[in-house]
Amino acid sequence: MLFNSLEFAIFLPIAFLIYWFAIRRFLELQNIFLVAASYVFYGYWDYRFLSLIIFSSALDFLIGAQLAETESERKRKVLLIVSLVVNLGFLGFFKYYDFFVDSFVDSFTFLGMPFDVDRLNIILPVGISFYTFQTLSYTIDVYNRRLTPTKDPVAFFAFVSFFPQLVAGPIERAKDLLPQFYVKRNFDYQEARDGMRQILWGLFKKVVVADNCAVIVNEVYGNVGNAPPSMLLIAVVLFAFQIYGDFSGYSDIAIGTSRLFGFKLKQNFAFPYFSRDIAEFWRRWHISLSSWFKDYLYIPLGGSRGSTLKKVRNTFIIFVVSGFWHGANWTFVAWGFLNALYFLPLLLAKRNRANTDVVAEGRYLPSMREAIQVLFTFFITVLAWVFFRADSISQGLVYIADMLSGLALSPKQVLIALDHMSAEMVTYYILLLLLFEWLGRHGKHALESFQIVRVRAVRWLIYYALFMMVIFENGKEIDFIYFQF
Amino acid sequence: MKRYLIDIALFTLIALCALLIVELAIGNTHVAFNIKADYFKENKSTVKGLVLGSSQSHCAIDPDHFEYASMANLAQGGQTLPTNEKFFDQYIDDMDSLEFLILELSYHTLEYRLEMNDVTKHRNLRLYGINEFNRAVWPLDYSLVLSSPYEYLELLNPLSEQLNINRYGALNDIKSVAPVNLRFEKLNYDEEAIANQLNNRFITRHRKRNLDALPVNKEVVKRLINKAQALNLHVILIQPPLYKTYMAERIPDKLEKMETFLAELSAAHEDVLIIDCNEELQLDVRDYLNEDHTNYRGAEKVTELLSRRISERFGQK
Repeated sequence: MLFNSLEFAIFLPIAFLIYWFAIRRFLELQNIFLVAASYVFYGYWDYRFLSLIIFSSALDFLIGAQLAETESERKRKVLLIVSLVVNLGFLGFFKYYDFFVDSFVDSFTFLGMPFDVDRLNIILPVGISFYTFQTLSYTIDVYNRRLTPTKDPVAFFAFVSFFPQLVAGPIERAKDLLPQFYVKRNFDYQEARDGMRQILWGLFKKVVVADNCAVIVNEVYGNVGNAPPSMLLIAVVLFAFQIYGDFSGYSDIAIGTSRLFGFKLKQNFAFPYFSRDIAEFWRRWHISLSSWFKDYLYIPLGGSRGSTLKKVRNTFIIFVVSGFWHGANWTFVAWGFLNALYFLPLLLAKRNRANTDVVAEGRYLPSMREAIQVLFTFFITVLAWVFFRADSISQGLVYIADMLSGLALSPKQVLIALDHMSAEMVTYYILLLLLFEWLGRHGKHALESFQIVRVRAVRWLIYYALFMMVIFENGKEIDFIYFQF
Repeated sequence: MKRYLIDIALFTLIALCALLIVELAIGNTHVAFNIKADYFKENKSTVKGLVLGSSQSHCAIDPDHFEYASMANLAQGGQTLPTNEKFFDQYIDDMDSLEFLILELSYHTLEYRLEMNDVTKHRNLRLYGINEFNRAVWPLDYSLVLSSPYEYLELLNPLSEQLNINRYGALNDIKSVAPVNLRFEKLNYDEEAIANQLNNRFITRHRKRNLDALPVNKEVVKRLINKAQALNLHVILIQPPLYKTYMAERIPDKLEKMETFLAELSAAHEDVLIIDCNEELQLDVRDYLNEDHTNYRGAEKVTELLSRRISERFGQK
């Protein structure tokens, strides 16, 4: 079920009313209901893949229980390996099987020994990368004795399948989310109200910004060889906003929806396009995944301890693996590699934590230096997005070469290109997005700051304007990009 | 909780009321799709000719200049062949006087997509009762403004000029077209400037191949011809005029597939009249809105040709 669909618009209020009115006093029933609602939410897309979630949940619940009971380090290690092999095995099979077969065949063909193997053309279960990482974090934390395993199977199944964040995160840690299923949830008017605001803002980013950008971006990427530099440049900038609107929009809707049900999820995007360097960008972009990789890959590898060479190695590993997590294509690896390259100078100069505060703190406008830093960071991020969106590395390289030949474009030429691409409207949407996000950059989401507007009519006018834009733009109903990951 | 639910209910109620008012207003605006649908509903039992096709035929055929008989032009932007068939199937029983079917078969038609875009799906449902959603219809499907808000809200702009549209829904002057389509006028009909801008959407959108749609669309055309002929209707296949830069950019293989298919149809159905406007008419740059659409001047010439050729072939009735 898509968040921006009529089905969800019907599903959500029904679930909300049952949850708070029919079973409010019964915690167990509420948890059972959340599992059932989550399975309906997921099964609406393809019920067959529910068996995977149920199997993963059952396996990790049992492994967690076994880990608590045994003191034998060897047995504990075996249990952890079973969990890792099964969960990553599912992920590898569904997501990467065809990719590895293709790469294998291509390598042998390149070496002059052509052969072929049947592809399985496997359907990728939606959200498998997200819930696999979420359930794995539970087993690893229990194994490392950082978490007491749960004895409540319903709470655990609800934790793995919690519908707001099941298919595209935020990837929650068991230590943060699981305890919330143990305690009675009380309806909080302020939380629910701000949750609705966050949902509205998420829908605006997805439906109004991302989906409108997508139409133009798809057109240009489908015609890379023939498109002039001005259009290529505009399209990749639009893609930067498409992917941001799409993914952070999803996260906002997920977090807002969770708040309606009395749950708190972690912030997943903290206004990343206002970052002053790439390290800050990565502290603000897809925070739940970055911190997952940091805790379960980067730190076990040695993190920033050890020799410079080791630090560089670890940085490249984490970025490349993160790229590969996004999809079974070398383009994602290239995207990760490029980001590692960007990060490297900051790491070597020990400047990777130079910007940890909010840009232009206490001021309405950034300084000239900050503005240049933000623009430069945005520009190099945009260059990397070229590969993220490309069908192949060669297409990405052609795209960048053609695009850079148009960097000396005058503003007038850009305006003409915007006109030809019918991109004026989406430009206004992006400016609106940037304005609201700038004003709200200290909060958890852009509309949070609107609470300070005392007059309800003014607040509602702003919400209506956004709401109307969302309603008016709902015709396309494009899938969230991150579902495919 | 009570306070929260009241807030939500009030917010939703105000939004729904606003939506309803906008929908009612759009239904009464003086625009081609409303006028066309009104004309068709009022005259479907008496019209003798029915035009089905895309925006190319919508722009190129103006029933006002059709001297041979009364005609309804149901061609519209992005209309696919399967949708043409749905129109035919939906209304053929009501069109008691129908004598001939004019079906557009342009260069792009056979490899054009099979599904209509959402905007047109909503409009066809609301105005013609045609369900193209491949599912049961929901109340919001009848909404026009939700399918393309800016396009429709623009229609309600009180400052915009009254469009000069005739009773058939055809455009009677150059200003009655969305500015985005007025490429040639924007370029002052400068042929050199037009020739230098080949990467515009009117040319590039038809550069794509869609070989999956090809056999499906061919079958639709054959079925439509057979259905029409089974009812003793004359069938006319028309290729609307295309500007020379568009013609030069056509993909040879795509063009060949279309021409081969037309030759097959011609051989199989000798009684089908095929009119290629690009061969039979010499239009001037000022007869076009853009690379693949004529303006009202071009429409007059095309419709007169159509009228003459039908008259010659099938005789005055």
